[in-house]
Amino acid sequence: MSTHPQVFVLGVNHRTAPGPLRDQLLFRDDALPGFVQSLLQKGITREAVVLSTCNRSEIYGVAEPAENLRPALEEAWSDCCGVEEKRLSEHDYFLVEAPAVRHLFRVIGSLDSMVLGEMQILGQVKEAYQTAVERQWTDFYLNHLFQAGLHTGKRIHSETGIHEGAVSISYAAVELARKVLGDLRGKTVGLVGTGEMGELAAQHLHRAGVRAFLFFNRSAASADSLAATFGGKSHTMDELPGTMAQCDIVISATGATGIVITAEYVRDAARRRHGEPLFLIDIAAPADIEAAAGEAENTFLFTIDDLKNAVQENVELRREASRKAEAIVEEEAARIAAWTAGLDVVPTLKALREKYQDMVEREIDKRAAGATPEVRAQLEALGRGLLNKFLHAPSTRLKALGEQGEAQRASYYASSLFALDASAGPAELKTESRDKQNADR
Amino acid sequence: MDIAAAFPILVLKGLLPVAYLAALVAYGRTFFSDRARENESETGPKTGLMGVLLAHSALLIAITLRFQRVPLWTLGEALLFLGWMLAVLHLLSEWSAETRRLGLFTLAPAAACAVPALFFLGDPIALPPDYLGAWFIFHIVASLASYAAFSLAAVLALLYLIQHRNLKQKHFTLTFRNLPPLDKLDRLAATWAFMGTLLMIASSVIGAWWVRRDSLRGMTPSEAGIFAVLAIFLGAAIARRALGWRGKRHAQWILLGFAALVIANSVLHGFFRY
Repeated sequence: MSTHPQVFVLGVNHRTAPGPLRDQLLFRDDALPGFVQSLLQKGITREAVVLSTCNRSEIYGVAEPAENLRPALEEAWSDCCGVEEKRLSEHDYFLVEAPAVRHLFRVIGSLDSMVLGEMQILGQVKEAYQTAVERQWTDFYLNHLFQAGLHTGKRIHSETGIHEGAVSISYAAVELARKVLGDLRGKTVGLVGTGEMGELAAQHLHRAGVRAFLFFNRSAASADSLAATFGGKSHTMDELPGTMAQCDIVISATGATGIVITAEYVRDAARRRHGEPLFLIDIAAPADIEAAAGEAENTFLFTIDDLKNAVQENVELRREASRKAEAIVEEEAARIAAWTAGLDVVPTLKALREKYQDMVEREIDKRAAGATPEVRAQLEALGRGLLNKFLHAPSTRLKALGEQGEAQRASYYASSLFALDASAGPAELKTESRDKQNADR
Repeated sequence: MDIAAAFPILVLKGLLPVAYLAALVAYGRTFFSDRARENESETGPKTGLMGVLLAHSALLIAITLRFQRVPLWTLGEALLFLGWMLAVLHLLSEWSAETRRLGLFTLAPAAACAVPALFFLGDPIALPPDYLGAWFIFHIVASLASYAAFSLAAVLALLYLIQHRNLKQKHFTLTFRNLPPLDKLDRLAATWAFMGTLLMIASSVIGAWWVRRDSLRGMTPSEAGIFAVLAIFLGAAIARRALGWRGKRHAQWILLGFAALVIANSVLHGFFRY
């Protein structure tokens, strides 16, 4: 049986709980400190990190043992958020030790996210951990676990392509624009219609560095409002044919039932653009841009179906990359398991060092009685040096055996060999040894 | 043959194909990576390219020392020098494009010139004194540099057409993901085509100076071919600027010019016959 504390997680996420319940179970900033303090004061957990996002709320902690903590944690959480305990227990999950570690690593690696590969979660976990550190809710175990988790997240980020490729229609439009025009900074974007999709695309383009927007709409008020949000100019629809040549990218997302941008408009704009590429995106249903517009020279037209196909390709690629990411999670979780197993030898190591430290000190006291402080300091330095040298090999070996899952046996034999405190060894080995001695007699 | 003097050349001749192969494999791995974004910490292509440039430069220096002249005159020598030029231009193109994903394609022509050149490299041959003058060397070097620039432009134009096709037909394949943006390919191809044009003009002026020619009369078929090449590339550059013939049309002009260059140097002239 393990002698060290166990890591646990109690949580709800987008898979186990419906949206309204998740909203109720969110830890509000003002309620969080009181909630964690009460868990720590009641001794339910020794350390805590609370992660609370729109898709998940999770409490990570350390207890010895943790297996029976679920009811107490559920009670505390339901009291904090005003949710019936029974309702919470129907939708939550509780994991202990290796499954809890693996879960955290999968969360950080965005393998458990609603959108596979979204990297926002890495920042959210970092923030939750930072809050816990600042408020001194974490110590040895969770510090090590979260640092290893963040390292795992970074590895997944840099070694796999799980976060690459757009998986939303509006972002796919921006990615495709980059494939035609390269860097989007300094480009001019014309947004026809002021619907939600168009606005989303404008947001992505703004983030990509576009600062010149031309908004075309039947209602001047909507176009003015977007122009005020993103910067740029508003135009009426009648101005579109004459102004389109200024645009490098045109995104059309109106609710019109017929064609808004004809092939003739586009050919004319392409001619006036003097060979500069023109990128057209039609995200309206039914289509706003005449299909023949894409045949004009140096003009590239993508419809909502093309964007859906691009998104689907990217989703497949992310799925492919998630296999690599899962392997990284397993590798890092195995490292944590070895580290945890190695912790079982810590009491033996401590006992070993204390015993010999004590011996050294007593011997120095005996020999250095009446000696000058300088001589005493020299003897102490010598004692420390020798102690470190003598204990280096057994300590290293003990730690290595611990990490190989031999902690109990190694501790027992070390205790016997070095005549340490009897409590350092496991009971079953001591019984086995006593039986052997009796049989020998 | 003096084995001791030829030994460094023999060793470098053995090393060069290995260096090219290693570099192309490294670039191939970068291009065929399933990652949409380039891994900037990847050092394989950089190391491979350094190996190529070192081995190739060392071989040219060793030949120059042994032959007591710049190796530009036989088919093997000219191809080897052209390969080296292509490798250097590839390095410059990589710097300006800020991507290693083009390396597989832009270094391949260098390998395609350098490796066959090794089979044509023979013992030193005696040259007429006129051919050893500085002007003639400048003429040939500028000429080979222009060929290298046109070759690079042709590779980039071909890649442009592939990426253009991917975009028009909405083929979101690995080639589509891993090739640079269309506009970047267009600008790179145009830049190298223009550089090649300038170098070819310089080479023609120096060549005319060398032979003291002041008119186009009595031009050989290969010289006429080279002038046709120059006209195509010059026309493409002017049309791009004046008429907006960019993108697909410009790429097609570059490929036409490159085809004319190959014909001028093979059918009309015979490979590097001086």
